[in-house]
Amino acid sequence: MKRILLLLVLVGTGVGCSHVNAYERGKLAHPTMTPGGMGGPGEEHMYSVQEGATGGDTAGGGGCGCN
Amino acid sequence: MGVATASPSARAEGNLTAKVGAETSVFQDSNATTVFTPTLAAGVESPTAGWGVNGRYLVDVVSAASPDIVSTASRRWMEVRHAGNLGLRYKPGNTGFAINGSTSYTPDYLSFSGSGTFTQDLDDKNLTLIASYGLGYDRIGKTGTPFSVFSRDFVYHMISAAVSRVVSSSTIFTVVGDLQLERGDQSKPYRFIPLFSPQDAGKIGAGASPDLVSNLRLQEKPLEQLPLARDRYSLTGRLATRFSGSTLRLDERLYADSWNMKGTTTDGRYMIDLGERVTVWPHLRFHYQSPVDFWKLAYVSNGPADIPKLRTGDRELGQLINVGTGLGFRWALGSAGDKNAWVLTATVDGVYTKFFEALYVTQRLSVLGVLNLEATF
Repeated sequence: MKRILLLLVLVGTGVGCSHVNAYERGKLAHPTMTPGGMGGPGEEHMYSVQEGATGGDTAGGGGCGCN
Repeated sequence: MGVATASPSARAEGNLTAKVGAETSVFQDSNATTVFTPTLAAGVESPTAGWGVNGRYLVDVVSAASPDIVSTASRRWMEVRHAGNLGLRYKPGNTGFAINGSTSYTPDYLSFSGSGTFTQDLDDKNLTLIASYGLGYDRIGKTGTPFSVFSRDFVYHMISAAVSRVVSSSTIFTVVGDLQLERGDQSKPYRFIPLFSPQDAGKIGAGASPDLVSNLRLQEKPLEQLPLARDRYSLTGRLATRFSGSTLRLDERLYADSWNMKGTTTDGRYMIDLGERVTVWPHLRFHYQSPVDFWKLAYVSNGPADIPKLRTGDRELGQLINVGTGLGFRWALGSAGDKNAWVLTATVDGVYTKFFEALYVTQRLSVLGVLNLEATF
């Protein structure tokens, strides 16, 4: 738990990170750098059914809707 | 492998951008389950004003004849699921809001959910905070029986917080924490659990055949019964880094819940540019989970008055390993001045699953093929 809290503090405060200006963000704007997960809805649905775990998306989604 | 088509008819007006997409996926596994899923998606946004609206509709056509179905002497069944969602977002500056609603329907399962997301950019957009809350309501029934005659309510709350940090001009790191609180009886109304005498339980090994289970089980065959509440926690780290001609994506998720399941999931993609229009990538995924604390390979009973209070036959609640590998392909088909106006994406993923302590099967192979075409105007 201490390691997780330390990680969150480091990410939040930006320790070890560079300050990147808007004109330096060409690479960050590339289509493969989207902040969300890379899997499409079909792939995400498959993993949600085959794995007992859940989570990782930044926004809530709908239920599986399967019985 | 699926086939998709799109017939975009949207038109750009002023600073509006319209997107239309069509996706088709086909899933097949070694337990005789097939899922065919066509999806349509559309969206309109104003990048300058900061608002956007999008929607998606999909149909799952599921056909199954798994060993669980065979063991109950039932026939192969087919079911169609309809699902849709609608999202609105507004982010004119550093602060943004989004709402999303989704629903899905099968004759025996009705699902509604809604969520709201707050986004705040800080430190000249080098740091982004995201918080969301979602509420879901499912109604679980039985095919051929009206919901008014038999149904169970299942409610879940989804709380999420994320911190996304620009590490350098080529790297972003994101941490996502999720809490999902589930309340209600989500036991499968079709899933019967075989019980065994103390003497016979030891004769049941992993992957025991339907014939052996049928010969040794007791006459009582109760339905599955899961706990009525489940609290689920996950913490995900997501790294995206861009090199001169490639992108590395790595996700790691740690999971635990109040049913005492613990899990780890690692997902990686290395996306390589082949020229300006084509990107290809290998995909690897590994998932391990421990069983829930009431999991048993063979539930023991000493008679009709001695039924285990909690019981399940859901293999995805048992101990398992998934090892997945796949390939992806992205082709920008637009004109020279706007290459990403049309994008074709194709992926094929295979997953091998090892079930450590489950009846009927000890492993599963599955393949998912997805073809997606998206147009932007």
